[in-house]
Amino acid sequence: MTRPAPDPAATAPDPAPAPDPAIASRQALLRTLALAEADEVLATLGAIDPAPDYTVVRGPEVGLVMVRGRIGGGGAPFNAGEATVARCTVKLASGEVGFGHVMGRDETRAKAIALLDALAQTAAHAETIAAAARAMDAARTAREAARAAEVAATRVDFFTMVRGED
Amino acid sequence: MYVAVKGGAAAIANAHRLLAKDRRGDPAVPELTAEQIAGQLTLAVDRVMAEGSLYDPELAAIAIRQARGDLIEAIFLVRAFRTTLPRLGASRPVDTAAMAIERRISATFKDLPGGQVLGPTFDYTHRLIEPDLGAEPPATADPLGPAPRVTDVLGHEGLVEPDAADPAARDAEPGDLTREPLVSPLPRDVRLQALARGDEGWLLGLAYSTQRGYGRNHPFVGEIRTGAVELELDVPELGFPVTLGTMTLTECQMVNQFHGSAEEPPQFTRGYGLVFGRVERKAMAMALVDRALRAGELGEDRVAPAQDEEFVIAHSDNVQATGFVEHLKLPHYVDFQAEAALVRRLRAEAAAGAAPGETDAQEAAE
Amino acid sequence: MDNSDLTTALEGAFAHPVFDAQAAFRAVLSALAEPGTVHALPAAGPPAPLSAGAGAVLLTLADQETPVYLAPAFAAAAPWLTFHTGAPVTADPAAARFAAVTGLNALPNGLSVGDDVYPDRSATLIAPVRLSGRTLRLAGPGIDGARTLDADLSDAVLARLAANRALFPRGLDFILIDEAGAGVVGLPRTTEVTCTSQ
Repeated sequence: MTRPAPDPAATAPDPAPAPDPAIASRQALLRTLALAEADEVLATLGAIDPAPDYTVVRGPEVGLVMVRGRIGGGGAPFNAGEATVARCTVKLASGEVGFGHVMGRDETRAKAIALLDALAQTAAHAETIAAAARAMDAARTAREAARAAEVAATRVDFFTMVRGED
Repeated sequence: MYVAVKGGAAAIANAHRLLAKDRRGDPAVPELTAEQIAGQLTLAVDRVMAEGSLYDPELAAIAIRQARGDLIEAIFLVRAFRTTLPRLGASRPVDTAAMAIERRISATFKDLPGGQVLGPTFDYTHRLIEPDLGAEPPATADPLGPAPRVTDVLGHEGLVEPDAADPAARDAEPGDLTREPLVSPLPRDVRLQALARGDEGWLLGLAYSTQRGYGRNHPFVGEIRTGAVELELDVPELGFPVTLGTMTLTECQMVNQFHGSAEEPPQFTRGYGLVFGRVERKAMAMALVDRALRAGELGEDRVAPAQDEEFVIAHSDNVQATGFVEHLKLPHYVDFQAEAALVRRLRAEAAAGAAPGETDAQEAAE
Repeated sequence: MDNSDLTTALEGAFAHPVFDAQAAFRAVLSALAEPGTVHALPAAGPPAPLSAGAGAVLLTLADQETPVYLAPAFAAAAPWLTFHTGAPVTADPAAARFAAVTGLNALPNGLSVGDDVYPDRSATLIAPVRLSGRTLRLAGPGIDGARTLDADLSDAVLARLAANRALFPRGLDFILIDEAGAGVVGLPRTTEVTCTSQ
């Protein structure tokens, strides 16, 4: 069988976020923190010295996010069910505001993400947190690769037999 | 009419204590932990998440333990819990084409970009009971390339119906049956929401009925895929979407022979299933029932139960169904006495040779 | 939103979100159940000129599923409202479930009064009021006979309230915030309001 090239229009992702590099790097950090193991996030926050001075301006709280899919995978949206999400917003004494969102009901983790988001905006901690984020990304990539290798070993090629009718 | 009963508080409290004792089982045997259930009874957890319509494996595991393994009871617990939480928003539509593939098969197209991978499947096992389960380390192989959805790869040949004829539909705001009452005819988005949380057994039976001839629609599995997708939420205060984490989903694309209609040329039409977790049987049944419910839209005669939206959707929710069926065991003494008195009178009238009055017959019917 | 908006938006929530929202809910419930009685609201600090009382009511009642119309004068409160309640701010009065306005004489056109099948799909107005000036006689559900309320509602406003009452079961409900303090008074669609002074 010849393989037609995928139709790019059919698989095009949703419009990319604003190209502002500051936003892109903040978005990437929040993604890293949401996909990291809870221990990694808490350890990163615990290593911040001195411990940050902050106030919590919203939460931490647990709520629901309606999970949307698309009909047929790429069509009109529909509501597939909900997921629990913990969130928190903090403000450092120096003024930076941080947001934490993470699936599940772990308010401590959401608050830690919010604090790291805020601290990453300070010159004092930006590089420490960026380095921790690189380590968390590497650990996640390794976990995903290990799993992908196990899955890849189950790749199957079925052979179609000729029917023995003659 | 409902008549209240009261009393029984001591018996109820004692019944709950007895339930707790029996739930715990032999105290000499270690208690099950939620982590064990979430890690080892994964498919039970997935079913509770799917039909509880709430993605939270830890919570589903706790519910299963509390329900002594009664999954419908666990689903009920999860549904009750979700009503206590505020809605924070709606995610961006998940991108199943970008799924981290755990399993991906097609019964129709042998060679696919990204390959067919069996993943952790029961298929091709011998169904022999094995009292001692071993776990050899799994084999590994070089990772496979990207795996676009089969329907996207082959859709442009025109043989398979595209996702949405109207591009504006991609941005439409979907209906939500948890917020608005269901009024037939339902749009397909709301039907899919109902099917995604519907009872697996109900959908399986209906799907089977279509295969046995009650609304036959000539299905092939275009693709089944299971794996993790990222969930993203637009946060207004930030002005950009944030990643919330990943969730495991199973998607099924059925392709169905279609002879064409006044508006559509002959082509393969599609039924769609998308379910939380690794609930493959349910995703397949959902796709078959979705396709059957499109009968009206595709100009087919509606002749079978699986094509009857009112019948399928109104009876798909097992929490509603169990509530109404199981309420029959609650005290109905007054209702029954009223009916018993009526039956006694009718019998007395019949014995006396008099025809029952019109009024009595109407009363008995209520 | 930019940083200055964000900073404003973050401040001014209830000091004790659960207890204060419960207290405010009780106050609004009592105000609507017994029209004409004044109930104290807990403190909130929305961006000016939205009043503390209106802010407390919105923090308590608005959520992700209740679009809120804000009078143009209250535009600065939009990010605050969305941050703390999740409520979308709408410029379309017809879509609003709550509307915060600058006065009863300045209602936007097109507010939803619900329909006969779903009379609850109507807007609830949140408006400041001065609790002095004219003596009003209130009657209707929640009032044993009649109740007196001092408030500076003009004849035009009273005519508007009478017309609203005639729509029953449809109609708007009014949550009035005492300009002088943080008290709340309810005038649901069922209340008959007449002026007994001049």
